[in-house]
Amino acid sequence: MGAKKGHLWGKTIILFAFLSLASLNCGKPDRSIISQIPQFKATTVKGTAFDSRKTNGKYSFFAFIDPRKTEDLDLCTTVRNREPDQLNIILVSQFPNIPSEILDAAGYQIILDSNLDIRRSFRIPSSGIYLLFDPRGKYLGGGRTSDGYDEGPKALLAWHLRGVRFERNLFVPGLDENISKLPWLSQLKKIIDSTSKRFYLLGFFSSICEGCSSGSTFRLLTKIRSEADDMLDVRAIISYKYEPIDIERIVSQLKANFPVVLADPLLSEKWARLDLNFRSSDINEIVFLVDSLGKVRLILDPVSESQRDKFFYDCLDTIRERR
Amino acid sequence: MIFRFAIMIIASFVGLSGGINQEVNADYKKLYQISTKDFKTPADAVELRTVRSFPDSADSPNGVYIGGGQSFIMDNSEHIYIPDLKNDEVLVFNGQGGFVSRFGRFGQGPGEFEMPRDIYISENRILIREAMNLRFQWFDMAGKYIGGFKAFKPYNSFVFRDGKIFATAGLSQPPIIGRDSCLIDVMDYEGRVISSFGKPLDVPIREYLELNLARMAFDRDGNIIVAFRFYPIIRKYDILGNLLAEYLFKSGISDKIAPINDKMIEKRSRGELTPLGFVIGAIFADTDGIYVASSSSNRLEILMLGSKGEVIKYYYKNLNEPMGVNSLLAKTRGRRKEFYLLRFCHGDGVEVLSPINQKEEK
Repeated sequence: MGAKKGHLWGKTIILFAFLSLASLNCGKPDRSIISQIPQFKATTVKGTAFDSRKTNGKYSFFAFIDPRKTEDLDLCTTVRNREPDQLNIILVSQFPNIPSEILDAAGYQIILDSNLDIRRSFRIPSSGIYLLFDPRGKYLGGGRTSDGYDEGPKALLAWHLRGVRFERNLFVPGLDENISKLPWLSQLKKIIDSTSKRFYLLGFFSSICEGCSSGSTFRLLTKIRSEADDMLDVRAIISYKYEPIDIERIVSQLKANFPVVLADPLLSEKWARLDLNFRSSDINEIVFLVDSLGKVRLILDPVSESQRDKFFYDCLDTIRERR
Repeated sequence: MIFRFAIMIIASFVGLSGGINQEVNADYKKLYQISTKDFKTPADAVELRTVRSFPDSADSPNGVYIGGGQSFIMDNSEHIYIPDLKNDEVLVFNGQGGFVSRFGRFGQGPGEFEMPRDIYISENRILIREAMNLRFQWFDMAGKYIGGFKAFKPYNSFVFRDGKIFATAGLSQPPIIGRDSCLIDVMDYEGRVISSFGKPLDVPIREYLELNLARMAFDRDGNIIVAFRFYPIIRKYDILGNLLAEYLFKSGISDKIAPINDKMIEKRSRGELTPLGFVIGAIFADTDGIYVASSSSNRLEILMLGSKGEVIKYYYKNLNEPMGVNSLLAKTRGRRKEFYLLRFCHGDGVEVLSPINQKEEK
């Protein structure tokens, strides 16, 4: 509820408790010793240069693996598959016998650490340990590969990656930019091209529940549609998680006075990738107003009812060209 | 909003069980306390006794217990189906309280539950509403999943027949420009709203959803009975949505709790987080009339109402310990009534009550 807010609170508390426990010194790296990624340069097994200071604005996931241990390899594979392009995944191995499915796969930087210099620089006592650093190289946390993905990196990555403020331009362009630049919004471009309105109010919903914040935002669209004249087209785009029949349910249950459409495959793919890295609430209730050229004129920041009220009036002013 | 709703639901048990915290709870408990002297027991009142309750402590080691029940229902073979919102399953008992079967488990998949809350049986099928997964699920009488649909509104009590589901709450919060909120949505069996009807109670906007919380039942004529839980108000609609009657009923509990609720609601308008007491615990209708069950810390009342909302018969039981009522069923055994109550507070379970003196019942 959407309507799951209470449930999410519970999960958040559990996650917080878990991370608090994870941060205790339970044989895991001491935060005070490795507060930053140690500075070093190396050559990967594929012959490319590696500089620990260059993170390219990404989080760095260091896994100190023993290639003979399946749990180490499984964890790295899962992280690579589940946590996409926000991570530098660096595998540090003492032994050269890296399996080909890891060696040949894209997405890893594998460094051979035969004399354990790198491991020592991280103050790591053994293999089977992973560490996460933010894009500035600050240590965020770590754990043992034997914890498994769900109990280990998933929670850690979720906490840190999803804790990062969601940048709406990962999904929609910023103000004054044009949505036609973004391939995953081609569905919206088609809507604009096929109609002749001067403005388009578009709302993205990954979940909708009338009693939740998303319900308030959905009602905002209804309210604006009721107030605005014929120059405005309003659409709610619902996530790939819904079925076509849900459109009828949403429209009838919430008495929508505008079309509700399912995300097309391109948008769904983007949405699903963002879902992996951000809280579902971050990818929900994204509302923006674009003009007939596809230029973004307003973006709703739905943190409160007053923001919605402000957006309501801003929207009407923009449509009526009082701004 | 959900948080407020959760607080309200928890707080509404004050005077019976729960509360915001121990200290505040104690104050409110005192406020909602009704002395046995406050009850005016009619001369022809029928006193009830508990003839059995289940599941009992002997069932518990076998994993048969109710963590939390909000509603239950009986089928034609007198099997009782109880969704357990804490254990995420449905337990089935026979009328004597013997455990028969269970179905469902925690999860989001078909046939799985997250807080199954409301249940209704008709046309040889079961419909269950979950609070957390925001959906309704259909089952056959053996508990086999046969379908389901998402609910995008926080529906509450519901009944169904002849292809239509009548569901309460899920109110569109005003203001939606040019649109009036309705109390009841009529859906097809796939969750599409066909029509809506019923004017919600005139309550503060912020309390709209909470204070319109209601229980529903079909009466003997197929009309829809709606009982508001925080007000002594019962409405009767025909299936087309025409309001046939609105009763303001009186009982020992409603006379005491309803005015306190009014004060609490007034305090809420000033920003205080106050609990509310249930004026109506549960309703049931059969060919004899409409039954309304309410309970306080020391008395359980079941009122049998006539076609004009008048109290035809007053059933009661003095309680040794507080008991909350979430759902009610009545069976006619010869010339006497047997009541099944889904109880909360001091252990969730079913309590079966029967008149102490059979002559009085006659």
